[in-house]
Amino acid sequence: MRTTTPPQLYRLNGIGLMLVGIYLLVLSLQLPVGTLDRPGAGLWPAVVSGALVVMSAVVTLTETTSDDYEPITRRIMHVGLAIAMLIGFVLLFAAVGLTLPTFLFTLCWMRGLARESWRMTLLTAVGNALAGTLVFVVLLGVSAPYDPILAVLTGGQFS
Amino acid sequence: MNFADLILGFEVAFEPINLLYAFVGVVIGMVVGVLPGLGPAATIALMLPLTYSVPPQAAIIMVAGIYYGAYYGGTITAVLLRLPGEAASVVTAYDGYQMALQGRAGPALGISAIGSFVGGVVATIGLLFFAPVVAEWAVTLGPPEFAVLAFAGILMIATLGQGGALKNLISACLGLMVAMVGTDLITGSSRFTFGSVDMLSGIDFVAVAMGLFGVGDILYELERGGAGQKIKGAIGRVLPTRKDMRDASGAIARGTLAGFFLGLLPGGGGVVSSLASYSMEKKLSKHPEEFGHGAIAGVAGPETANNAGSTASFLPLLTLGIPSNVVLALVYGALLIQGVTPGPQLVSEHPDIFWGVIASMVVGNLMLLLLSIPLIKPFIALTKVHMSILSTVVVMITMIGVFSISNSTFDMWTMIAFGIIGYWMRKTGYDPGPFALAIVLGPLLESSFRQTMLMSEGSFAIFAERPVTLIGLLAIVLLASGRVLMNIRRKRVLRRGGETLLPVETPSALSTSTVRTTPRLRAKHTARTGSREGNEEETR
Repeated sequence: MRTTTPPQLYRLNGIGLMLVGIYLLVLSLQLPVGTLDRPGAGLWPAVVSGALVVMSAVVTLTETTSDDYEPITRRIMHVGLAIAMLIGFVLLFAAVGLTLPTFLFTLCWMRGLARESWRMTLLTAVGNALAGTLVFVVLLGVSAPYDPILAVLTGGQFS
Repeated sequence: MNFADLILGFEVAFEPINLLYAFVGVVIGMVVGVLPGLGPAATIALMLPLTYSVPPQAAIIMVAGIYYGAYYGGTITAVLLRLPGEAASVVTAYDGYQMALQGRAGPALGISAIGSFVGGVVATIGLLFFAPVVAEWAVTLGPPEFAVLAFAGILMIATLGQGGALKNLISACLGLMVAMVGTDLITGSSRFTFGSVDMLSGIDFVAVAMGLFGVGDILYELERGGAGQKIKGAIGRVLPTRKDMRDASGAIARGTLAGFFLGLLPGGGGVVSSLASYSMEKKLSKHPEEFGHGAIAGVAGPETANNAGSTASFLPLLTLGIPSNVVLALVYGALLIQGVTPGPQLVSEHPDIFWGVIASMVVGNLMLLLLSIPLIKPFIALTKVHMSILSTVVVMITMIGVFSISNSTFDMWTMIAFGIIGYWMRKTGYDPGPFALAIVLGPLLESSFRQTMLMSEGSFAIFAERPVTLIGLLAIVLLASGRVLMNIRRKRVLRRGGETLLPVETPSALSTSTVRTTPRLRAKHTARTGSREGNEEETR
């Protein structure tokens, strides 16, 4: 189940950060940097991104062990699936409001990721969808996108 | 201190609506703090949307209630499950959990509540006297002073926080870069917006915080697959005995003082205070060998110092506009949502909020004491909540909460992105705390630095010419060298396998905790104490 991070692979993290720093430094230098007595919009970002590059380089070069890095396990796939579910939630929320995405998200998470029983999954999914809609949309008046299910449930009073 | 101000504060605090919100805040804080996997930062981040529709004074009073309620919630899990809800409760877990194993969880929690109350109330009284003085002084400060203070704030949290200082500084740099997204307030040009209209006004701190601490935590816990833990040992009576009180009274008194003064420092607050108190109690104790094996002073001192420090750390926030730690950065966010900017002008522009919040802390701490003792047993039931149910509820609250900031799905995308970043940071030993704090302090640091450069015509000598900046810079140099020396000493101690002030049980507390310790810390401790843990299991 548990797989260790291959040797030296942890250094990729520092290198990645260094590349991010270099990219931000280039972007900063494209802004008007100005001079010290008349600093432009790019001066401060250039200073900070420069520091980021230097410190990332130091970390990459001086870290001698991967103790700081947690091993990559197969459960990372769960994280990938969870992120996909979050993205799905936002897309669905923008289209049909809160009730359906909450129900589906809870259903997928509890059954697919947490392997809970169907009974527990359905109870939680229905509870979450109803409680969330009731608290946020009905009580707190959050203006979520049009929710056809809520419209049907409340006879058009809330949507 | 003007007594009229104090009376105004108590008038605000005793308004029925504010009493209600203080009560709601304390209860929410305790409930969410007890739930597995959620510390004070995540709790406040999750609850920020609830403050939108509440009047400013009530909102801040509620957030303050959540703040100390969540800290106490973390204590309950630290004692019962050896799962400190946040870093400040790590030391409580050492002796608190041992007391729980001996069937004395009740007195451990009871003394924590009493100590927290004493520490919180004394620190609040201290705030009443110190805050107006500091606020008056702060009005005289200019951009160079604020640049140094903001820089010191970030540096302190980076060097005193969890994990390596260099990695924390990288984390802070990333936060500073995020703080720069949007329109440059001095020149009006847009920076790092990549053509997006949504990014012109910057990235919302609440969305970032909810992503880093809410979604990030959930993703991290999901991968760890943390199973629920069973409470070992009986709870016992909650009220401490006379002997317990006698044994703990010195620790409570010392913890109050240490916590208050350490809490005033940038980067201070509960964590440093509780660690300092534990070390002090162990040094002063006639029976230091009892520490790590259920010494009540090892619970009372740190818990008192934690609450005193957490309360005292409101001083730099309210008077200078500089949050000392990430949790206060979120409180800062809550104030901004209400259109209130913390800083030297707060006391003159919003005296009702300034004094009301301080006075409400006395009331809130009393509520905490009154609620914590009878509610300990019901709270225990909450620790058994399935992580899967909790995750879905948290995700739903964060999603709709972040949407309600500006009724835009852009903030939801931002939150997911920062959730992934938060998860990655935890996996790779980067503390998200300095990242979040840098987002809050970044605009102040940048604007103060640029104004200073304009004032001095580009000369850095200005920092050495002004007493406050000079002292600040010297303190930064001292801190940095102190940190280097401490690292060298710690490495030597570890190499020799010698005794430290912290008990050997440290690793087990850390390894099972939801506190964001680095894998390096856990690995080191496990290597040192693997055999000891085995023996411990046998004894059980």
